[in-house]
Amino acid sequence: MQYRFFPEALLWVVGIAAMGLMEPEGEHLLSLCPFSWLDIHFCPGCGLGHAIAYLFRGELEASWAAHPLGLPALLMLSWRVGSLFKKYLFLRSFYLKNSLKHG
Amino acid sequence: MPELEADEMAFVQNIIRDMTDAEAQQYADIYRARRRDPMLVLVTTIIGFFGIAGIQRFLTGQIGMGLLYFFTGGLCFVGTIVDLVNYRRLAFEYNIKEAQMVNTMMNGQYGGYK
Repeated sequence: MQYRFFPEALLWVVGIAAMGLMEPEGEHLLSLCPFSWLDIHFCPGCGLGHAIAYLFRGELEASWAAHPLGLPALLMLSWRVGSLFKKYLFLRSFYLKNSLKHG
Repeated sequence: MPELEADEMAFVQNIIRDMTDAEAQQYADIYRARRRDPMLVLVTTIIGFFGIAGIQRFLTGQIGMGLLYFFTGGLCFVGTIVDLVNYRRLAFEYNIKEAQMVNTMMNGQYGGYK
């Protein structure tokens, strides 16, 4: 099962990168939120994409205005990716040590 | 322990390999009480779609991620969807930590159960 840590880690890294590289000031932002495609706007996470994009450009206040949890989200997800990687390494060494076939 | 997942079983077998039958039985009793069933993780993830997001993360000891999910609607539902696909692995992550913890407890580091 150790290989299954990759999809989640990859998702967070790719997601953050995608949001960070977008232009927050642009008019027609390519929206990554499926709910906004359907015109549903009740999600409490709205604005996170903008927040991350602003963070990548160093504008902390704009990020806070877009969504106050932008910076914590970035930090938490980086932490999560790191700990997923550690778990992957641990499991890998466990499987190798005990010569189990890949889980 | 028939309710264990395959990978979980392999991990636990490795831990109890050198135990006596009585010790292994004790281990099983303690571990069984502490593990998280993947089904529970799945159900709480689904609840995240309709109500409070992030319970599955609290259940697997990830308080920070849980709070993040809670306040951002499951990271704009993307997080919840990811967890829906991944629920078995989330439970597994927590369970192997618990499996090691039970082993440590039994080996007298906290005053011993024997």
